[in-house]
Amino acid sequence: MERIEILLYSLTILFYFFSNLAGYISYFFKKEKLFSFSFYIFHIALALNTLTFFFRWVYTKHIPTIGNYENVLMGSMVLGFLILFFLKKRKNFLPFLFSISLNLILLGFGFFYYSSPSPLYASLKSIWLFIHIIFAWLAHSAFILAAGVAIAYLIKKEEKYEELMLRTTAFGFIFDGLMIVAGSIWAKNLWGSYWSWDPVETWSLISFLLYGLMLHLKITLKIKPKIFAVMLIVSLITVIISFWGVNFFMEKSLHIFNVG
Amino acid sequence: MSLKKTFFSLKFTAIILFIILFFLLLNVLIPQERILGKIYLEEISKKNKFYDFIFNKLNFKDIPSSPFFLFSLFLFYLQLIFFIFRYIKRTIERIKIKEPEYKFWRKYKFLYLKGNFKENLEKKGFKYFKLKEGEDYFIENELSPLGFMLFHISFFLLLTGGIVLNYTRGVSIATVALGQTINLNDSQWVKKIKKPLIEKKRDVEITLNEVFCRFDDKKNLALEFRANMTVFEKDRKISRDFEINKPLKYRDLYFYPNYYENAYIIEIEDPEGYIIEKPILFSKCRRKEVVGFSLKGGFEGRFLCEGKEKILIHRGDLKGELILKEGETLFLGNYKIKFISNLPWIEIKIVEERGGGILIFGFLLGIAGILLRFIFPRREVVLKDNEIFIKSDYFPESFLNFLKNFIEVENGKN
Ligand code: HEM
Repeated sequence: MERIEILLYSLTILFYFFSNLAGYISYFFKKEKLFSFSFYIFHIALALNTLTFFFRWVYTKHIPTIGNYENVLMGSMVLGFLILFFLKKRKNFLPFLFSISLNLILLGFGFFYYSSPSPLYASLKSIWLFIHIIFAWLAHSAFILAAGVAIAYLIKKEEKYEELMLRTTAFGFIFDGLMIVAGSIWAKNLWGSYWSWDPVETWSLISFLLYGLMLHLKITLKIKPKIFAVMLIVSLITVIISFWGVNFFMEKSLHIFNVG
Repeated sequence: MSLKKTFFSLKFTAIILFIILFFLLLNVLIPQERILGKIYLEEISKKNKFYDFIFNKLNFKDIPSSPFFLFSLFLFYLQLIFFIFRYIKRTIERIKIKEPEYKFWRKYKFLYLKGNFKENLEKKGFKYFKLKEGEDYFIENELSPLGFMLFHISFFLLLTGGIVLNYTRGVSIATVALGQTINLNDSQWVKKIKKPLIEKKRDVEITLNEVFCRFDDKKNLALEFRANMTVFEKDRKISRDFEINKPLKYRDLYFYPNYYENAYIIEIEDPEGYIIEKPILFSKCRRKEVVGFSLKGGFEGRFLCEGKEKILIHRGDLKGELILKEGETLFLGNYKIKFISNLPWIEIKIVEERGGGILIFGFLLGIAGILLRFIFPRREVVLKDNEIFIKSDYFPESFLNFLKNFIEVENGKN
């Protein structure tokens, strides 16, 4: 089973890579035809990504959420669907290119951290955890996407990219809030406290407040879109730390039942 | 006056948010007492002058309760209340007088209208108002700014809920073996970790009726856990199941499973054949914690957790080991110490608190507000002579493209 899974995962990476390669060639050498080809290959990559995700789910008998690899598996798929959802129009080609490159980095990271399935511990059996993780990936993927769009904006200052930055950031911001809510309800059910200021919780709040602050600056104080774009790219650091934090958090919550 | 103006400006909001972010960052970067424990912090502050300064001079042992952080939260709170009130007042005024606020509008010249502009926009859900002669005003999602308000009111509720929860919260840890009944006021079995601001006297007893636990021995983590418990208070009595992630709720008390292990019953017989003690001893070998005990008749001992479960027991100079297995007996002088049986015990975290409702209400309000604001943003149009003024809260480019279906606009903006 694991062999088939690794094969599927490798194919996923390969197809994303070819899509991206075709995209860059089409962009730099102005080959219009490769442009549609890149889009087409992307669909296959996303289908493979989804297949790998469900394959892992079925044979491990739980939604892939334990460890870096399983998290990346879910995250890259969610990011893929967000790319499909936000960038389906041809005119968004540049953000499409950069966000797929970011997804490739994510997938590569997952490959590096591949781990064999682990059983689902009692502390993880909760509908709130399930909701929490889905929201977390919707939020984080949207922020990754926003950074991809931001790179595109810095290269080509178009108003449509400016809107897209705001749209993806707002989308991520909503789900970031929902993620924190679901997580805190889960924490209440597991430990008896909605909030305990542990580093991971605090970090997710930092990330949420930072994006909230950026939305303030953009929407109410009308900072320049260029500055907003730079901030979106820099803020991705908080997302990356959150991601590492997720696993740290899992370890801790797993241990709660025997460390006390 | 100008100080007041500075304080209640959005720039200052951004500054406060920065300060709060800064403290949260410190909460992650500086070792914190609530995560690492008092002893650890004392040790590192002895070794390191920098930590000594941070912990003992600046009092950053616990950032969330440090005065600096609380002060910045207080400023945040003040600003929030002020802005919410001002915003409510302004929004109501604006809706009443139906006057667009000419700020951040875009102006374009238009050539001609495609079809009936008014009818088309009304079909799309815009409301129409005549401002002056020759000045037509269209607005969509007029109440959307209220979403912004709901969202910000939710922060107010979350902070308030957090304060209420913090002060009404009481936490204790109880140990109870299968079949045992304990009183929650009995300090032998129940340790109070955090007391609420106002403590109520109450008399609650619990009995552990059933417990089942399956472990992953490799990682020593629970794969499954189920228990059934009865809670008594005066004439009230309930019996319920609870699990990890499904606490038992009784009025404002929540019971969470925290730990599971074996307890052992031994029996000590004196030289005359009287049983002088028959205690339940709670092992914590899984947690690798040394558990010591002292018993009637001058006996003292502790668990030895080296593979086989056994206890080391001594009385004066006499010493011996009792293996905790059926049929095992140990003689210490003329005293006979016998293993009787083992039974599971659990540690339960008991949380008592109020204010969770405020928090949940805050969550719901916040979600409703932000969805309302971002999914249905307000959009406005004014037609005047041969000019069109447009304003969209977030997406002016998309709005212009949308309007191009109904109007021919000259290229370029003014
Ligand atoms: C003292 C605290 C705060 C004040 C005084 C404040 C004030 C404001 C104001 C006046 C607006 C503009 C509303 C409009 O033009 O429609 C706004 C928008 C916004 N605020 Fe805040 N805010 C505060 C805290 C926060 C926090 C903590 C967050 C989230 C982390 C946040 C997130 C937002 C967002 C996302 C918007 C844009 C939505 C919109 O335009 O309606 N705010 N805030």
